[in-house]
Formats: sequence, structure tokens, C-alpha cells
Amino acid sequence: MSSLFDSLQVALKTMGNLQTGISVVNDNVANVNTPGYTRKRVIFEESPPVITPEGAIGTGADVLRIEAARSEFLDRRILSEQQIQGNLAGQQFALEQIESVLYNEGQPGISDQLTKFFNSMSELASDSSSLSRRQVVLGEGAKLADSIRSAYNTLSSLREANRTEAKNSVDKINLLLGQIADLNVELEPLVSLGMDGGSLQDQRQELMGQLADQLDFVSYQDDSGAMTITTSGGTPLVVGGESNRLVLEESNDGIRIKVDGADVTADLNNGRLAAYEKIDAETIPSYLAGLNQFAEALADEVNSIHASGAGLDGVSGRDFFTYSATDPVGSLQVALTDPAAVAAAAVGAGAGDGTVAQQMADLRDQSVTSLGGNSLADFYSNMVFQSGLDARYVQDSLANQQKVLTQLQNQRDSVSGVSLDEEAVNLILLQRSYQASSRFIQVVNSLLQETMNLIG
Amino acid sequence: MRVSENMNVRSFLTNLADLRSRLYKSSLEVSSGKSLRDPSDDPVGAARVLRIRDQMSRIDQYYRNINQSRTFLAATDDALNSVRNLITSISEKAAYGLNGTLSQDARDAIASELDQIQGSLLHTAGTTIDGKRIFSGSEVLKEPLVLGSDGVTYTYQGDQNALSVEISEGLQIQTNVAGSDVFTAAGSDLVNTVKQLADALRADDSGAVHVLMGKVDQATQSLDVCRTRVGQSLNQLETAKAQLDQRAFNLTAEISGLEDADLAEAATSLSQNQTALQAALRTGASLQSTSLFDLIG
Repeated sequence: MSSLFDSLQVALKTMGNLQTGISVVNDNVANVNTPGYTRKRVIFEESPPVITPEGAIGTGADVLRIEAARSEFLDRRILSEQQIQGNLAGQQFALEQIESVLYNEGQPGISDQLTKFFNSMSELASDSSSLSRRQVVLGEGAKLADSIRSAYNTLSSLREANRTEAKNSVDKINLLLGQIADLNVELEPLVSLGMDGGSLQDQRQELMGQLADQLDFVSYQDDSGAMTITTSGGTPLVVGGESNRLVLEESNDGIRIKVDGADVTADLNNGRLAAYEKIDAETIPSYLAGLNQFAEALADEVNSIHASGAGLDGVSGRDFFTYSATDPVGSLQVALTDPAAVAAAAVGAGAGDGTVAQQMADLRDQSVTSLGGNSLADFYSNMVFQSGLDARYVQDSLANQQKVLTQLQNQRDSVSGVSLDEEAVNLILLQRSYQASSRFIQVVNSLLQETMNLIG
Repeated sequence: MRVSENMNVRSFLTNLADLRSRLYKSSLEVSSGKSLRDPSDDPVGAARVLRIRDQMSRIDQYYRNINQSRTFLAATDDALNSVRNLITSISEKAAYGLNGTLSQDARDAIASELDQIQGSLLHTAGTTIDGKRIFSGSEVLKEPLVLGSDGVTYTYQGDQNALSVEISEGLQIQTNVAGSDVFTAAGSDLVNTVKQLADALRADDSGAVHVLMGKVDQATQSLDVCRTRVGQSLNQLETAKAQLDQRAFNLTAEISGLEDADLAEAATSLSQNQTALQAALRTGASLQSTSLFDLIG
């Protein structure tokens, strides 16, 4: 037999339950725009009944747990797509800079300057005794060397800027790894009791999303709820409450990333850091090497023809350009200062002979063995073509990747995101139940009053 | 499908970003007039643009070379014409000098006229452009003809080298005529023959005058060969120039096709994108403000 007092207890408990429900709705509504927030819902459970001779009488409901609407599958997919996207985004900036340095639209770039240099040779051939035309050849030669050097230096400083990005990325990764390890510690007591980590778990997922933008990693959650994070090669980064630090080492051949002294550079395939590493160790060096190859070929080919001719003073065997093999672009210079020394004429011919100048002008269309059979102009335009193709590839892939990621994030939000309409309906339900409970208390109260009146 | 607020916001934002970037691209295209600004816009096109710019710059150089050559050839042509006129008067005067009724005084007068003609020939041989001798082969800084140690005979001190100028890809023309072909050619030796003619008239040696007049005729023939060659070179310049004009026109059209935006199309897509952006903003604004919370009190 149950009493009116028991009923009051049940109503009180119900109101407490409903308040929990309202605060969860409140939390959901408050976090409607919080990145990484997973909507929560209260799971109620029937309270154990009181067994009476007449049968079991229910005693209301209890809050079983607060559940978060997570989808681990989608969370994982999103992490791996974020790693790819981070990598593409990391490459995009540098590749767009490279193509613009090499193409140099509107300015006298290498390509324009190469043409002008050969034009000045062609003009000298038409009037080779002219000192002013010889002076022009020296000037265009120097400007050509400068334009190659300028592109080279811009690419080198781009490499420096890219290294700074890599350092920033390493700092960010180390910070994130530390934060994730801290959250592991905080989550342990909750998860080991079988509870949802709630906002702590959301935070950790969000941090892992930020980490995925920078680095590719493998992660798994153990029974205690701790997230273990390793590189794709298995080097541990976060184990329980402990995190390792990434260390960036610089060298001329490119940056190396180490963890605890072990080189993990080869593990980096995705994320921004891998992009910066690739730009630093492969992409920019390949263009720098291309420019060196170009400068050497230019100097060697021009010199070999130039040496066969004679200046106005009749002297032959002089070089037009000088450079040192250790730093071809940096040291490339016009060797001559006296315009009369430009060897326009064949040995023994008169001052008006421009045969050798014409041979140097003809060089522009000739295939050069050290450039793989390309002419100088073709070799350079191939570099421009390659830079455009690389940038285009990354731009297109990034646009596609963005679509894939958006699709996945929408899918996750379909499961985990907050819908205000839903929360409003939940709130109405809770409100009505709360009103009903208070009404119930009022009724029980008046019944008790009746009973009291009987006594009094 | 369950739609949460984040999804609305995300699709709104991604669509907005997409529209903004398309709007940026089309407005850049309209304002710059270019559809190819970076190689990644069209990698193949960019490589081609470099090639075309190279071609166009070369064509400008060929125009300069052609003008240079034209000046040189025209000066040579003028000089050869005056040599032609001088040869005609040599022949006339020599023929007149053979007239048996002439007195020795008259023949001497003709002889001194021939001496003057030799002076004119020497002057013509020394023609310069910008300080360069046009009849000395590649030895442009030397006089073509120099008086020998005998004080009578002139010899050629230039060389036989051709002065060649590139007037189009792989096309070079010779702009000069070696002075030896005009003034001291084997068989005619014009500049010395005229002196010998004067001497023969002074000596009243009509036999020698006949022989020397034959040599003058030969000089006419070898001169005409040179004049024809110069005329052909001048024609070649005009042909090359016409071809370059056509090529420059084609290249300009091609580079414009690669680089320039189709303005009508770009302007249309600009206004389309503007409309789409406005629509998206309106939809987004109304979406964000609608929820059941507005209606419960």
C-alpha cells in the first residue's frame, strides 16, 4: 500500500529529472554554433517498483545517463579527410607563389630577358663595329643574369617563409598533443565509469581535428577512454597523459622532423607539416636546381661560341659569362667590361663581321644537350608549365576535397548537430511535464489538506 | 534526413564562400581583361604565351634589322647608280676622244675630265654610313681603295666577307657589295682603267683606247650583276617585312585568344554571380532567423 507522501516524493523526483532535461536542452541550445559540439540527450529509466501484496507499484523515473549523439565512424572519416585537406592547403600557397615568380607576367622576367639578350646579339650581328650595340649586349647579358638571380632569390626566400610555416606547424602540433594528453587524464575517471565524456570528449575530438589539419596520425581509444596517438609509422605521440614533442631540424637538403631523437620525416604523408616538408625538401630545390642548370647551360653555350670569335681588338678565346660551379646562379656575371671585347666577328675578319654574334643569336633555337635536348627558352617554359600544372592540380584537388569534407561534416552534423526545432519541441515536452508534476503536487497537497480537516 | 543548425550554417557559408570566390574571379577577369593571369589558369596556354611573347619580341628585332639593312642597301644602291652614270660618261667621253678630227688639246681636256671621273669613283667607293665604309667588306673601318707605292695604281684593301643580317627566323641577307667587285674587278679594273684611258688619250694611242673601252664595257656588266643583287635583297626585305606583319598579326590574335577574357561572357557571368550572391544572402538571412523558439512563448 503506498501513501500520498510517497506520491509527493515521486513528483519531486520527476521535477528534478525534468530540470536535468531542461539543462541539457539549455546546453544544446547554448552550443548550437560551438565547433565540434555533440548534441546531448537525457536517457530516462523507470525507477525500481515497490512490491506490494497487490502488485508492483512504479516509483517514477530516474536519469540513467546523459548520452552524446556521436558517430565514431564519421569522426574517423573526417579526421583522415582533414589530413588530406591540410596537406593540399599547405602546398597551395607555396605552389601559387612559385608559378607567379616564374611567370612574372608584365615584368621583364627571365623569359623576356632571354629574348632581349638574343635580340641584342642579332642586332649586334647587323652592325658589329658599333660600340653602342656592343654596350647593349653587355647590358642585356647582365640584366639576364640579374633576372635569373632575382627569381632564384625569391624562391629561396619563399623556402625560408615556408620553413617558418613548418616551425609554426610543429609548435601548434606540440601544443595540441599536450592538450590532448591533458584531456586524456581528465576524461579517465568519467570514461572508466562507462559515462560519456561530454564536452571534454567533444573538445578532444575538436583538438584532434585541428591536429589532423597539421599532421597525419593514427589514433585509437582504449578502455580507460585515453586516446593514443601515433605517427603513421607507429612512433607514439600521445600515450595516456604523456605526450612527445616533435622537433624540427634544419639542413640544406630540407627539414627533418624528429620525435625523441627518431627521424619520423618519412611518416609524414599528409597534413600541413608534410606539405611544408615536401615544399622545402623537394619542390623548391627542384626549381632552384632547374635555374642553376639553366644558368650553367646559358653560360657554357654562349661562352663556347664567344671564345671562338674575336673582339674589335682581334683577341679571341674570351668568355662572355663567368660563374662558379658551386653556386651557378648566384655567381653568374658578364665577364667582359670593355664593349670592344665582345667577340662578334670570326677570327681574322674585319670589324664589321658579325658571324659569331649571329651564331650566339642562333643559339636561342638550338637544342642544348645539358638541358635534355631542349632549347634554353623551351627548358624555361617547361618549368613554367610544370609550376602551373602543380598549382592547378592542388587547386582542383583542394576544391574536390573541400566538397568531400563538407559532405562528411554534414553527415556528422545530421547525427550530432543541434537542431533548434527539436530542442524547442523537447523543451515544450519538458515544460508540460513540469507543469503536470507541479499540478500533481497541488492536487496531492489538497488531498492531504482534506485528510487534515478530517482530523481537526 | 535530420537537419541540424550547423548544417544550415555550413552549407550557407560554403555556398557563400564559393559564390564570393566566383564573383572575385569574374570581377578580376572583367577589370583586368585577362582570363590567363597565372600559369595554373591554363598551364599549356601559359607556356604558349611565353613562346608567343618571345616570337613577338623577335619580330620587333627583325623589323629593326630590316630597317637597318634597308638603309645600308639603299646607300649601296645609290652609290652603284652613280657608278653606273660615271661609267656611261666614261664610255661617251672615250668614244668622243676617238674622233680623229679632235685636236690634241681637246683630247687632253677629255683626259682631265676622265681624271675627275676617277676622283668621283674614289669618292663613291669611300661612301660611309655611321662611319662605316660600305664597300670594304667586313673591314668597315678601312678605306676600300688605297694608292699603291707606284703612285698610280689603286688596290682594294677590304675583304670579301659578306655582311649578313638576320631579317627573319633562319633568314639572313647579305647587305653589302665588296668594293673589289665594283672598282677593281678582274678583267675590268674600273678605277685604274679610267686613269689608263686618260693617259691613252693624252698619248693619242687609239689602239689602247679601244682595248680599255672593252674593259669599261666589262665593268658595266659586273656592275649590273651587283645592282641586280642589291635590288633583289631590297625586294627580299619587303617580302620578309610583309610576312612578319602577317605573323605579328596572327600572334597578336593568338595571344589575345589565350590571355584575354571574353568580356561579354565575363560581364554576363559577373552579373549572374552577383545575382546568385544576393539570393544566397537573402535565403541565408531568413533561414538563420527561423526556428520554433520564435513561436513558443
